Amino acid sequence: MLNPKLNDGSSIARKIDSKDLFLKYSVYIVLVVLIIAFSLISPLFLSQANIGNFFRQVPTVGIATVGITMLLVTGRVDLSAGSIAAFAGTAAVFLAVKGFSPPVVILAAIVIGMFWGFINGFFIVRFKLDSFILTLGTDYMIRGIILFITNGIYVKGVPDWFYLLSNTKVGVNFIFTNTLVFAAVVIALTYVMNHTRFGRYCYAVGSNQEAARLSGINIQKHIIKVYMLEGSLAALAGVLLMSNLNVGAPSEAAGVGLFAMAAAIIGGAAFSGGVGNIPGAVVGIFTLEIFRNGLAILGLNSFIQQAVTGGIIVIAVVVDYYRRNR
Amino acid sequence: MQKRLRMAGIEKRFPGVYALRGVNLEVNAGEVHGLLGENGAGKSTLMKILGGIYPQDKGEIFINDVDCTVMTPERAQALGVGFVHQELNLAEALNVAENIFMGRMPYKNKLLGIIDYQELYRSTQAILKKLGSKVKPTDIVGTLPTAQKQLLEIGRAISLDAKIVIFDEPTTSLGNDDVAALFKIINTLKQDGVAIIYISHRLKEIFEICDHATVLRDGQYIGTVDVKSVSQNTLITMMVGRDITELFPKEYGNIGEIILEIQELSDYAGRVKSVSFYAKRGEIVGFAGLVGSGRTEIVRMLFGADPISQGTIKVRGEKVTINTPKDAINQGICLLTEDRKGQGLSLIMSVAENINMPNMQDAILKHSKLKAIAEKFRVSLRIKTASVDTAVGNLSGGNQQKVVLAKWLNTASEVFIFDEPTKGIDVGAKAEIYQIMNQLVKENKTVIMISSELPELLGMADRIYVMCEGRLTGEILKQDATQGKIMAFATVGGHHVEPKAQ
Repeated sequence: MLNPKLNDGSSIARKIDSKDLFLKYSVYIVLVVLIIAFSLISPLFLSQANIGNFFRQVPTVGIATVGITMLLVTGRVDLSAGSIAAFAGTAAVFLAVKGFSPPVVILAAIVIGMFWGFINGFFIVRFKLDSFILTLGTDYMIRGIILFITNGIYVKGVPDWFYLLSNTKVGVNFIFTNTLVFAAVVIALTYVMNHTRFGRYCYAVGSNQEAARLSGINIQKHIIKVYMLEGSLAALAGVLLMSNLNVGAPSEAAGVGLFAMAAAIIGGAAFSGGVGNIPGAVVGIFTLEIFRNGLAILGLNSFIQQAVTGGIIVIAVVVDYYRRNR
Repeated sequence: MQKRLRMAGIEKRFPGVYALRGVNLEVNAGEVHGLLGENGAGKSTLMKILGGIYPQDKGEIFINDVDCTVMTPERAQALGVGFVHQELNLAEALNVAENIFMGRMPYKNKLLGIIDYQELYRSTQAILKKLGSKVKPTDIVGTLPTAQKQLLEIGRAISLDAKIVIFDEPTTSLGNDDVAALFKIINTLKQDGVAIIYISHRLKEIFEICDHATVLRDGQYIGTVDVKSVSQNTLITMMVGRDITELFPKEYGNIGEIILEIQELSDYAGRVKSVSFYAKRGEIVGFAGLVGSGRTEIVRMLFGADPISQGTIKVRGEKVTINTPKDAINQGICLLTEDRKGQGLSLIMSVAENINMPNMQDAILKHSKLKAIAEKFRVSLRIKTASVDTAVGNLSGGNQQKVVLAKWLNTASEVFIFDEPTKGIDVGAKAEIYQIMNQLVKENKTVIMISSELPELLGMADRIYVMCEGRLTGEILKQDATQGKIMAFATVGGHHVEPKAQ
C-alpha cells in the first residue's frame, strides 16, 4: 500500500494556478512588495545613505543565517550562534588591540568559532542530545564565559585596520567589504549545498537520519563537521559585527541565532530538516531586515518595530504552512 | 443475506488522472469481502470515499439500502464504518482504554471534562473480552507487542459499534500465530453480522478468510468472484492483467565457496544467542522464524547497524571487524531493511539522490554523472517514475523497493541481505524482485533473505535457517523443506534441537 499521504494528490501533475504560484513564490513577492511600498512611502528608503546602511547591517546576521540554514537542512538548530559570534568577535578585537596581525586575528576568531561548533556537535552526537536543548545550554555558557572574561566591559582601542575590515567602500558608495564577504559566503555555501558530497549529506541526514546512517554515511562525523562550519561562520559574522561597531562588545549579537533561524524558515527551510536552501534564506533575511529598516525610516517606535518584526515571522510561518499543505 | 454496502459506478478523478472509473462494490452483512489489486489500483481511494475522506465525482453509495451518496467522515462514523489501519495510529504513552475511546470518553462531568474511569475501564474490558485479548485496560500501549496494538485498532472499530469494518493489510507485521488469532476475531465479527472488507496482498489469506473478492486494476472494476470457486491463478491474472506463470521463478546459480561465515554471534539485548551460520556465493539463504525471533537483529549486527556483543564474522575467509554500516559496505555487505520508508529511503529526496547516497565518491559532485547512473538503474530495474528527479515518496511500494535495490547495486556489494523483501509489495512487483535475486546469484553474488512468508522462502531459498527465540534451531535444504518442518523448528524452542549449522 502506498502511504495515504502520498497516495493520491502529490504524484499527479497539478494544474498551475495563481494561488499555487503565489504560495510558491510568496517570499519573493513579499520582498518585492515591501521594497516598492517603502520606496513609495518614503523617499529616504532608496537613498544612497540608507542602502549603504542596509548593506552594512545585513552581512553580519546574513552570514549567521547561511550557517543556520545549513544546520536546519541537516535537521539541527543552534541557539548559541549569537554567543559564538560575540565570543569570537570580542576575542578578535582583544587580539587586534594586543597588536596581532590581521591574518592571525581572523584565523584565531574562526578557530574559536570552530571550537565552539565542535563542542556543540560533539555533545549532540556523543550523548544523542536534542540540539535545541544542548545549544540553549551552550548559549548561556559561551555568553557567560566571555562576559566573565571581559567583565562585561567593551574592549576598546581598536586599530584602524580592524575597523576597515568591514567598512571599506568598494567602488560605489553603498557597497562595503562586509557585503562582499557576505556575497562570497552565500555563493560558496550555495555551491557546497548543491554540488558537493558534504552538502548532499546534509540533506540526507536531515531528511532521514537512519536511512543516511544505513547508507554508510558517518552521520556523527558529518554533524560535527556541520557544526564546526556553522560555528566558524558565526565567528566570521562576529568579527564583521565588531568591526562595524568598532569595539569589542561581549553582550552584542544576542538572539542572532533565533533571528537567523526565523529568516531561514521564512526562506523555505523546514524545522524538521531536509528542506531548505541558501538563496531562499538570503531572501528571508532580506525580507526581515528590509522590514526593520523600513519601519525605522518611517520613524516607528523601536519597541513597536520589534513587535511588528515578530508579527512578520508569525505570518511568514503561517504562509509556509499553506505552502506545505497545498 | 442483507446487502450491507453497495457502491455503484464510483468515479474519482484527480487532476490529470482517473483514480477510479466505474467501480462497483457490494458487501453483505456477515461476509468477509476481499478487495484486491496491485498498488495504485485504487483500493485506498475507494475506501477513502467510503470513509468520507474524499467525495466521489460520480456514483452512488448505499448502506443498508439507505442512500449515502454524500458521505462525510462524521456520517461514515455514524453509519458504522470502521477502519483498521495498516499503519497504527495509537498514542503510545496512553493506556489501552484511553486509546480505544479516544475522543469519545465517558464523562462524569462533561463540562469540566472529568473522565469516568470506572465506566471507561468497564466498557474497555467488555471489548477486550470480545477480542479474546489478555491485555488490561490500564496497560500502557507503548509496552504492548505489535499484534496487541493492532487488536486495539479493531477494538476501536468495535467500540464504535461498526457495521462495516475495513481491514487494510492487517497482517503485514504479524507472525503466523497472531494471524490465526486475528482471523478468529474476524470470524467472530462475521458471526455478529458485521460486513468486513479485507485488503491484502497475501492471496493465501484471501482464500483462507474471504467469501467473495472484488478485483480492481488501474482504477477500473475488473470483477467480483466467489472465492471458493476460483483459482489463485485466475485471481492473479485479474489483478495484473497478464498471466504470471510462476509465482516464484526460481533459477539456480552456481554455488561456490563460502563468502560469509558467522560464528557464535550474540547481541547485548539477548535477542540473538550464539548464532552460527554461513552463506556461499551463488546461493539464496533464507531465514525463517516468527516475528521477534531475532532474525532482523542478526542481520542488523552483520551490517553494523547495531553493536555486536560477541562473535566473529569472516568475509571471504578473513576475519573482519564491523562496527558501522560503512565497514559492512566496504566488505561488500548491504542490507535492504524491512522498513523501507523509515530506514531505507529518504522519501523527500529524489530517486537519483537516493540511488547515489551510499556511493558518492567525489567530494565535488558531477550531477550529470550521478543522474546517468540513476537513469541506468531506472531502465534496467524498470522503476516506474516520472523521472529520476521525482521524490521517492511519490513512488509505489514495489518501485521504492527497486530504488533501495538500485542503491546497493550501485555499490560493490556481493552479499545482499533482504529483510522482508516483498512486504507490502504487489504480485507483479514481487515477481520482479525475485527475478533480481535470481540475477544476483547468477552473478555469483549471495542473497540472504529474511521472510515471514513461508511460500516465498520455500520457493526462492536454496537453504533455510530457522530461528526461535534468538537461537538457530534448524537448517533445511530446499529439497527437504516443507511448511510443517519450518514451523516445527520455529516454534519448538531452541533447547530441543541442537543448531545444525557448522
